[in-house]
Amino acid sequence: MRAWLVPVFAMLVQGTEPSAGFSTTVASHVERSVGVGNLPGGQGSEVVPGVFITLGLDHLDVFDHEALPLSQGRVADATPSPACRSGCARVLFETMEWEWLRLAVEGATLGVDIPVAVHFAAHRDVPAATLLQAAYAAAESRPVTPPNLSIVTSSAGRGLRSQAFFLLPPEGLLLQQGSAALALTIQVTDGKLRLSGSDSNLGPHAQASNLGQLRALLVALKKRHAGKDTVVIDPGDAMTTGELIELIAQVKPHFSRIVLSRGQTIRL
Amino acid sequence: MPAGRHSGPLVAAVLAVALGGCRAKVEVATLPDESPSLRAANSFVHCIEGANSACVEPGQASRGWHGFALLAWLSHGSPVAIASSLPHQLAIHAEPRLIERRMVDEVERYAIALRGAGCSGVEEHSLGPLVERAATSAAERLDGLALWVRGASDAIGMLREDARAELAQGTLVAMRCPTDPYLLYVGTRYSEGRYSVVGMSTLVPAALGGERLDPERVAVRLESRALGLQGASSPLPDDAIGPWLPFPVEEF
Repeated sequence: MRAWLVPVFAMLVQGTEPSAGFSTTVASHVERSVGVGNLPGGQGSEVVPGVFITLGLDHLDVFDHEALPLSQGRVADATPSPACRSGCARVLFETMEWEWLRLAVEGATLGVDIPVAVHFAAHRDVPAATLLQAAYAAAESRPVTPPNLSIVTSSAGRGLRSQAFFLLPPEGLLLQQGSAALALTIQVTDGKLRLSGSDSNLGPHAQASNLGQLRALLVALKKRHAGKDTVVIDPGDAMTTGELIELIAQVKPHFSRIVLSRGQTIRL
Repeated sequence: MPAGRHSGPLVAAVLAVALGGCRAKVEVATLPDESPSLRAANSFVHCIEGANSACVEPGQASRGWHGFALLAWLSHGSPVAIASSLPHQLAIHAEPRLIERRMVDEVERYAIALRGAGCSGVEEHSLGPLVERAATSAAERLDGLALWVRGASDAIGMLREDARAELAQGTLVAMRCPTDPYLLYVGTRYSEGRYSVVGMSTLVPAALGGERLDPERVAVRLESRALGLQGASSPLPDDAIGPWLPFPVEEF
């Protein structure tokens, strides 16, 4: 650089100005990729800086580049990866592992941290099972520890919001005797919402046919277990991302911490 | 490009004919049949294998290469890092001492891995067109992602100018290694009749002449000491169920 340019450059360094916020960046890409209007509607918190993965009906993007084709929102080749303990598809796991390597090299070279947050912006018709596979692939392939996960929703007048969730460990969870965990689980099968957990009143066949019935069951459960905040949701294979977000919206007022599962179970 | 790329074997052949009638057996050493920039890249990596960062001579680190690397980053790097650290990266770019420190750090980080990795140059790309491609792509991307609403286009223009000034005749040499890091990219510039190395990287976007690693190698690289992730851990609350569920079992 020529000497006279150095002060000009210093001015540029000070003069660069960030965009309105990271959610603006996410929204810019989502609008081009699947359309913000096609995201599920819902509340949540601010979208913090992190990896954003966009799932459309025919493609999956990591940040702003297409990483994988999808077919009707599903991974075409579902062959599981031996390295993915939850059984996620090889192509998904390898895609995510490559992205983490890129981020790790970037971090080492430029002295920046690897992102701790991963957001999933999915078209509302994308099967929740695909979203969960992608989440397990991203979480299992991340170096060091699983990331903080969220589903991006669109909120009228508030832009994009972030609905945080956890995942059951890929091998499931074994709770020690006497842990006093409720382990409340909602499993969606054949259009029914089956509830299970350590509450003796639940019985082996507690289920709801619709969200209204489910809400009533949750209200009763919360009264008996005021200190419990967590619910596990296994959306099964038929539920869409939009339906999953609707279910979460019903559950959250009573049990605010959402844990998702794609068949992983809790053993009490 | 200087003449003489293939002169080694020719000299050997002429000497062999001229000396054909002599009884004494004469062995003629020839330079490897590779381009000068490939030779420069190979020599640099051989030097790293033996001497670590001592291979980076004062003044060797290049603002042009650093400018190209930042343009490549802006065009393909993580928006998270771009959003948070662009001013910091530009500040480093304004300081030759910091650019040199960055090159020394990069060399030191990979010195152990490169020792015995057996890397050798396999192909080269002209850096001139890559600089233009990276700059164009960076500008479009920052605009498309609404990253850095003010000053970014001026910064990209400045980085492009620096890269153009030094790397117009330079090359990006792709090297393959049988072991970690598997792929290595070395930048060279051409000045005063010779090629010299100005920087290196283990990752270059495909659009700029890079290559994606095989999945098996990706897993090995993530374990590489050079990336510093081995043995790293994140603090968890004492009563947490585990890294997947970092909250107390009482709330579960």
